Amino acid sequence: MSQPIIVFDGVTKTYAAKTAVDNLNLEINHGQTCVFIGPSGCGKTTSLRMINRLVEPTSGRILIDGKPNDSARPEELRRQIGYVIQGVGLFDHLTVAQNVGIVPRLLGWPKQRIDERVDELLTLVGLDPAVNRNKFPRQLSGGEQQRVGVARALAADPPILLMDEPFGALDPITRERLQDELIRIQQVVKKTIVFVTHDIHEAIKLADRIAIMRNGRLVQYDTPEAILWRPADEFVQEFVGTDRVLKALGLIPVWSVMEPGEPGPKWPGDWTASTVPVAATLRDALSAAIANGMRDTAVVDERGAVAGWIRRERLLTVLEDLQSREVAS
Amino acid sequence: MISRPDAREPRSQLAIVGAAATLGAAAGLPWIQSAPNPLALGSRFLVRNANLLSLIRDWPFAALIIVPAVVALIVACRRSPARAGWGLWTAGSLGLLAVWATSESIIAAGQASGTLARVALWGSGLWIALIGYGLIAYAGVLRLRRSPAANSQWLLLLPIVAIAAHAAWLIFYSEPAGNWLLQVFQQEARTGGIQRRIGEHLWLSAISTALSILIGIALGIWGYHRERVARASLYVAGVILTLPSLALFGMLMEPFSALARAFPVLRDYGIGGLGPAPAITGLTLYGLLPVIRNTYTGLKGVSAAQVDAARGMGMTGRQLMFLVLIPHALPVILAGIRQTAVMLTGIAALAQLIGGGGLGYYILMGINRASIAHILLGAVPAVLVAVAVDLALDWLGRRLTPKGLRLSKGVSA
Repeated sequence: MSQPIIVFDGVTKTYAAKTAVDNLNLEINHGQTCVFIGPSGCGKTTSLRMINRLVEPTSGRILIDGKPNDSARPEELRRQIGYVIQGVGLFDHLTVAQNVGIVPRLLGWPKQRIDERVDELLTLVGLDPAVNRNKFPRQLSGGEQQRVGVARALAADPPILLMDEPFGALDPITRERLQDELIRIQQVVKKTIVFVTHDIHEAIKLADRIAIMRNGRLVQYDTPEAILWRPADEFVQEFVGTDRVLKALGLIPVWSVMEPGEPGPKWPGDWTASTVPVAATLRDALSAAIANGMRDTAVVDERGAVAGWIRRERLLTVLEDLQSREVAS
Repeated sequence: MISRPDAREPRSQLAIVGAAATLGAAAGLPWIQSAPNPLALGSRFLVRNANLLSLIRDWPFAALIIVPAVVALIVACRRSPARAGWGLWTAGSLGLLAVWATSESIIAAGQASGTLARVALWGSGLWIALIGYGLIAYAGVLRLRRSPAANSQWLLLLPIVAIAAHAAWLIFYSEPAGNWLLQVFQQEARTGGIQRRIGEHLWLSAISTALSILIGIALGIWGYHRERVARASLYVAGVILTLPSLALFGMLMEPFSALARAFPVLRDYGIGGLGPAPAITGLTLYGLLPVIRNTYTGLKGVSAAQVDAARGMGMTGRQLMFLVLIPHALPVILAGIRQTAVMLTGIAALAQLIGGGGLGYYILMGINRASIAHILLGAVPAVLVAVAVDLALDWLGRRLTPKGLRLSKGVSA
């Protein structure tokens, strides 16, 4: 459909004793989120770091927007690519605002434009600029630090965002919340995101395309759907795990199956409906339904008004469909 | 930890030691020594000595010296609130002034009446009493620092200013004194000798500290990039520091005189086997280790994540160094610089051994002439200069530490 923005063309990286990445061929399209996943040492981080030349390939080349990425100085390239890492790496001696504004500063933006951009980005990642711009990184929680890390990566409005296990060090609740935030932010900024993780849930939740790697080789590169239902080999099947039905539910947004409905007549006085937000998935809806004795679940919009219903019968039909696919494959 | 003003404090052991030393010295050690000349063993006068007391009938001498120590002892022994810091501080400073003022009165009265011989010197008891009261005052300052109530810290400098002003008046404006120590100080100060030596001393230590900083930071940065350079330079700088300073200065004399023989023109610039050139070289070599070590460890202490993020966002090597690594390592580097500066200010006293000048001039002269007064004339300013340098760099270090680094991790505002 659209032009590939990043192309791996026969990329190999060997270190003295071992091959980290072996003849990688891959295309990532504009505005997509591509998640690299695999066990430790599979070459996913090396692949990511070769995009902005923190690692140089031994052979092969990487094209960005059709141009080899080594056609300019590495610093020029990197300033056009956002970079978020697990350790966050905020500069302790600078304020939040100075951290976010550092790439614009390197690019020589005027001060007022930097200030405006910083406030805009802090708001985007869910931090109040008035409260946070003059704080120091050590005054923030881990989750807040990574929000600043994302804002900093987006500062110069780069078309590409590289994220190397950005939520790996956070507690599960914060991680979940930041994943939701990233989805929301991506709807606004529409970047091409290359994301590395070892968490299959995270991959399925965030990815348009998942690249599964093993021992430096690309095993399968496909949509989350296809990875779930048409695993290329036993390794992928094992990696995806046994609860494919649940994971597949996590790919279906509630708005795609909800029925419109008024709260009044369908809301008998003796029970309170469970609710899920419009942005949730059927997996969330199932959890909500189970918690409420498998009754109908209300879908509410941002203002808390009922936007529709997930009927018990509809939910069970979807479940049966998925189960039959599970049996078939 | 800041304690509440009404919290019970542990006993101030420092003040107890100070008070005990003062009282012991007043009870049994000689206060004033009197001799026909500086080399002769003179007669000793104790506080309880009737002759001595009779010299100053107008002064409640013993009480002035002893009462502040007794008060301090009582305050220090009670598990007193932080406010008692003021008590210790007042007792200590009053005691210092009393000891000094009474000793002057004794000597002046003694010489006027002919009871004391031409040369009078402070005895060991008087010195110990001065140190004891100094400890008491310092214990008070320490206690006040922990108390949030005491914000008027400038007031604490008052006795120091008073003593300095009094000393300046004695040395520059008072009548030539009978006190031998004061005589020597007066003579050297009024001929400009001591000022010149202090100037030389500061110049020697400042130049060599500056050179140590330049070379040390360069080696530290180089070592950050190449581990072998770091190991080699730290090893060599460590070996240099283990050499006795006299040996190092001696070893440098020969190359410098050879240099001056080969290029006689250098002599016009004061470079030769003797003089400031080998002294500054030796001091510079001595000062390298703290600067190299702290620069290297400071840079290495920057987290790998920050370095990776900086490179990943497109910083050049120079930007990484000046925008991230050095600001982050600055407090550690400054601590190394402070250590070097204080160390070199102290060792500069030995520069005179190879004709380098400085306050060592008086110390060596005092040793040669067996004159305590000359030794003190060199040693006291040398100590004061070192303490002043230390305090100044400590203040500077705290000022220059980025605010974001002063916060400990995980503190929310």
